[in-house]
Amino acid sequence: MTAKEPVTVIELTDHDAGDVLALELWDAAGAAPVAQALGFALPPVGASAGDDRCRAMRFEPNVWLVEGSGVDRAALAGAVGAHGAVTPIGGGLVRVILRGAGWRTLLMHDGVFDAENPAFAPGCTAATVIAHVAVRLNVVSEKRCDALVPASLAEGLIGRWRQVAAGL
Amino acid sequence: MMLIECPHCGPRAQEEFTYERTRDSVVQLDDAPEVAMATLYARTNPRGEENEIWRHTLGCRGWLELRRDRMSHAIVAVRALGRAVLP
Amino acid sequence: MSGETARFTFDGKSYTAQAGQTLAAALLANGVAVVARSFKYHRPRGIMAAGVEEPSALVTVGEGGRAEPNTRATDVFVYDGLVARSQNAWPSLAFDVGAVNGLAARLIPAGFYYKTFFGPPRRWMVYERFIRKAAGLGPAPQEADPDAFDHRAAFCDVLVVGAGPAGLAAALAATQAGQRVVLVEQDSLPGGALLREDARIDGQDGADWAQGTVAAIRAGGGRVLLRATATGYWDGNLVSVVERLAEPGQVPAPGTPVQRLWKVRCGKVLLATGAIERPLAFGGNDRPGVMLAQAVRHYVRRHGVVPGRRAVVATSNDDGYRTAFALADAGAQVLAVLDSRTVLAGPLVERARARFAVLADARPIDTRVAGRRLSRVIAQVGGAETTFAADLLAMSGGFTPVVHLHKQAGGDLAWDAAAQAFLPGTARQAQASIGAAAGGHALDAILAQGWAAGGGGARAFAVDDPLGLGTPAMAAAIPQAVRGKAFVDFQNDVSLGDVDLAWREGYRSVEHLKRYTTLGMGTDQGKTGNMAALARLAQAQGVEIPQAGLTTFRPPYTPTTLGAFAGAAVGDHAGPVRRLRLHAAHEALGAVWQPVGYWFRPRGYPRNGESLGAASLREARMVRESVGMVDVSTLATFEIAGPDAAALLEMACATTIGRLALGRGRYTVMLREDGMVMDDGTAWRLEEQRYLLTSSTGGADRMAQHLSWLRNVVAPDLKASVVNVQEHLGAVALAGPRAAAVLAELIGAAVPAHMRCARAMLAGIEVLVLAASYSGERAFEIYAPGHDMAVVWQALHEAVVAAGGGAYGLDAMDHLRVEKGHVVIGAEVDGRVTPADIGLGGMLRKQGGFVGWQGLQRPALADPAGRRHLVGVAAVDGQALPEGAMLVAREGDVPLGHVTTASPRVAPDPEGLTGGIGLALLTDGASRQGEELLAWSATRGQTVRVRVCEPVFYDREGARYRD
Repeated sequence: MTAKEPVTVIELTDHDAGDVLALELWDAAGAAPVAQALGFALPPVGASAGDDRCRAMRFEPNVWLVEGSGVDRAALAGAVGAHGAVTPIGGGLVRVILRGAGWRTLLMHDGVFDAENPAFAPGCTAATVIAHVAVRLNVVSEKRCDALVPASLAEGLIGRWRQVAAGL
Repeated sequence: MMLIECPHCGPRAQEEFTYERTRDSVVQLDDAPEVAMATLYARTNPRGEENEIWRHTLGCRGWLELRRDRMSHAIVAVRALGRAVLP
Repeated sequence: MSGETARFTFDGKSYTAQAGQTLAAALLANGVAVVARSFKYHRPRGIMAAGVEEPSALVTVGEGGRAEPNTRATDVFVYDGLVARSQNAWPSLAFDVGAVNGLAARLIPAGFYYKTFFGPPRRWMVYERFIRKAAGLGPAPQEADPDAFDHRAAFCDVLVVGAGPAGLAAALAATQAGQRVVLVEQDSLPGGALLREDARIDGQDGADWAQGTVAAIRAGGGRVLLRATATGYWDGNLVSVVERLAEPGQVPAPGTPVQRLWKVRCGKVLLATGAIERPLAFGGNDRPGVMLAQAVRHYVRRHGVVPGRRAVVATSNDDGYRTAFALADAGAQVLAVLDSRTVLAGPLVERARARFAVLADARPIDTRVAGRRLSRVIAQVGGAETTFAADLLAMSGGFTPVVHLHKQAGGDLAWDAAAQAFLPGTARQAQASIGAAAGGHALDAILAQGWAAGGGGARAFAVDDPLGLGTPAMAAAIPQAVRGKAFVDFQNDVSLGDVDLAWREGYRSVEHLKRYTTLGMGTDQGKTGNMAALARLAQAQGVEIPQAGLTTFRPPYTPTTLGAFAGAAVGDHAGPVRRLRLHAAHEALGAVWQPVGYWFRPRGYPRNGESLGAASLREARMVRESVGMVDVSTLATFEIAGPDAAALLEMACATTIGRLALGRGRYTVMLREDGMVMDDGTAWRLEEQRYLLTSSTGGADRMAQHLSWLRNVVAPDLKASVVNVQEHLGAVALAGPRAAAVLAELIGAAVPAHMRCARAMLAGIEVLVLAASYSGERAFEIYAPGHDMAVVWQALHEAVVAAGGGAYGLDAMDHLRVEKGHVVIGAEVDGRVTPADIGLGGMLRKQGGFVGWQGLQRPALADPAGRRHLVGVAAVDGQALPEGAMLVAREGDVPLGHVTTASPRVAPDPEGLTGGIGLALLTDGASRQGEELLAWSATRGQTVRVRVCEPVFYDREGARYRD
């Protein structure tokens, strides 16, 4: 009975996220050498820095997720030194790339986070829960948002996303 | 259904949070046994405002303390718990 | 209205509807007077209202799994192929056997249900069978719902509930002010009251103005949802909205859900929810043909349906007159306007006097039917009785503002004595009521109020109402005495007489009245009738209505399909499913799946028609005799790194960790603050300042929370990083006398000694090998990142099979650990056991300093006497043990303990016993070794003689798992 909302296009691909590292710092002095190793300053909470080759995303107060084929693990570990710890976690994550203008609408389904807010713009990150799954979002551009999904729950969530995307 | 102002993430839905306990029931490991048991079991439980510890478990995983009215559910104040956040 | 038509059936008979008509409008247009039978007395009922407040005309719409019972005929729009059926009538609407209830109404008075609860218990059971059949609503469908339901969040600055004039003006103003706006309307068209009035706004027809305003809101970026009902108002200014994307019973468009539950988080909420007209209380006010006056006007003006040819209008206020004009304009004969007021004045009344017989101090007191529909209205005019040969009685007893959402939001109510109505008072959340919901009356004032509430600047709306402004509505007085049954709750068949009876029987509070009479407890929640009953209660108490009290307004505002609450969480998706990385590998081996929390894990791998029990026993013996492998990827695992890593571990673990040498591991146990065991696992020192902690699958989330608590709140200054690697690491346990040889061959190196760890290359993958044994055999846990696990599993499986072994499942693992007396969190460790109770007291650090040490000092925990201890139990007569059975000296005794896990014997008993074995918690169990007791399961009707023994059945010396 209701007019359909404007048709939105969304394309969804999923990949192992084996390259993801968790970087925790307990000492502010670690920020500068890490920035030098990465080639950019560590982003504040709710933001990302870098690009697909090497990216740091901050979802937690003192933890960054570092990803990308261009990350030099040894150099990073050396830079962190006694200021913190680096731990691989990518074996437990699936990276879902949502391409198309419809990603904001898609993320509102079964969710509680305001992905439709224009302030959630490229460079922003957010950790939230979608369909009971803890999901970490990184807005790459207005037409692309990446989601890191726990591997064990990925099949169910991605299946649901495909279903919702087909109806958009 | 509450909206909780996470000190790190801004306003977020209650579904992302877990309730831990009241501030006055935090046991330190060097507390004497009788002090620790009193902390756990002899709380004030006021009708009205209380300091509560929550965690943004399904968000930034940070810990926070709410001052919340347990009658109206109004959240009066929020602050981050734990070590200082790096810039 | 377009010229399109839709075909539908009601009780098997075919009819035609005009496009846009509700089922109620279409039935009225087709002359169907009786639509339903009433709940208790099975009285014939027609259509009384035009909106969601309809109490009587409940029908089942749709077929099979799409059938939606108790649908209000006024709240479903006819589509081609709609199938509707009447409810609560047998064998048919026209001849309903149950109507005898009406004749025997004296036998089913108010409180009938309660009364049957007293007396012998069998009495209710006898009545129940009769009542369940006779009194009821439509049956729920047996088939699964074939359609999808959606859940979706939305955020806005302003949510406007109701697209009547107030809501439209508010939403337009807010949109033009640049706000994020959501406007929801339960109807299929915007306009609200404008759809039944002939007022013009800014020179436009009201309905057209409404359409234009919606277009303007949408063009300005606002979201307008039609057929969307705000059903609940929650904390944090969250409003739940149920949007219908298909009508009840209708097949939705491909790929489209039938309903969408919106969870709208709002900066501000404007409630433009309107008001509901009240019926008049008089004998026979429920006859088909007696309708609410505004509803009649609605059918005439919006749907082009005139519900009667000879009408009487009975009203307590000016608004009722508008219906007389609408009827007369549509060609019906208005026999009289009965106005209960004694002095009648004003332009509307004067205009009416020129066209109709307008009678003051006049009210209906009884009705008669012909062929089940209204034929006569008996009225009292002044002191005299008059009869009108009418087939339609349009009644207006005043208005009840819809304050449901305001109340759900925690707002107070204010009493308007003139209107005899509750109005929204102080709001607790960021919300305000506007329009008729706030007691508004004049259209121009309502528009101005809405515009201002939406943040609009100075602006006047030009309103042209041909009938002119009436006076504000007054409520009808509730008569002291009535003839026959004057219904107040039409759906639950509660009459004024029932309210009086409840009072006489001593029910004084409104809450008691409600539950005793079932007033307002139907699917309509008393939207039309509650106020009349309250007024009667107030009369009896001799107080004003506010002093008599009000029952609670609970969500949902209108009945909501369970599917809308479930959303996508149905069937296999009722909870999230956690899949193993190796799911496909297990599937290929013929795994039988076992849900473990949200995980699905292989329970066993039966071969060639083997039973699961036989397969598990075979798999367990395979481990004892050669080698087996089991997927243990679900274990909780944490990497803890940093200079203070050991200190953090010693806070969480009750055993010594700090002195652990590099490359070594230990069994450990974690306690709650009260001293009870919370979890157990192993701690390994991987690097100088890096440890791996494992703990139980089921406790993984709790342990993650606990470690974070200790790290961040209790000891925030520690330099230690805790990373949950449960998802990151997959793991396979390799166990059996040939395990070491198999592994050494695969990694091309010596295997680590028991309780040591090492990194190794296996099939080109770097793995972490922990030499730990759960089965009691020489065993290793092999960890690798999740995405590499398939390669690791395949290489291991080939080697294991070549060595005469294979994969084993959870049941075999359980059999093996019971023989060794290893506890499981959730079985032996049930939240009530201390480390000493399960034989781990000696492992604890004497100096304390770990979570739970203070709790253990309590005398009741420190003294083992009288506590339940972990023991083994063995059946002495060859039977299997019933798991969960109570341990007693004699059947019926107070239990001394219970069997926590039961298992068949994998290895033969040295003393020749052949029955089942188990672990148990037994009072003073440590001093009961050798005693015989009964394992008594009353629920399974099984009793087995058991002997109490040490909780180790196999290899007590621990020779097999060492090198």
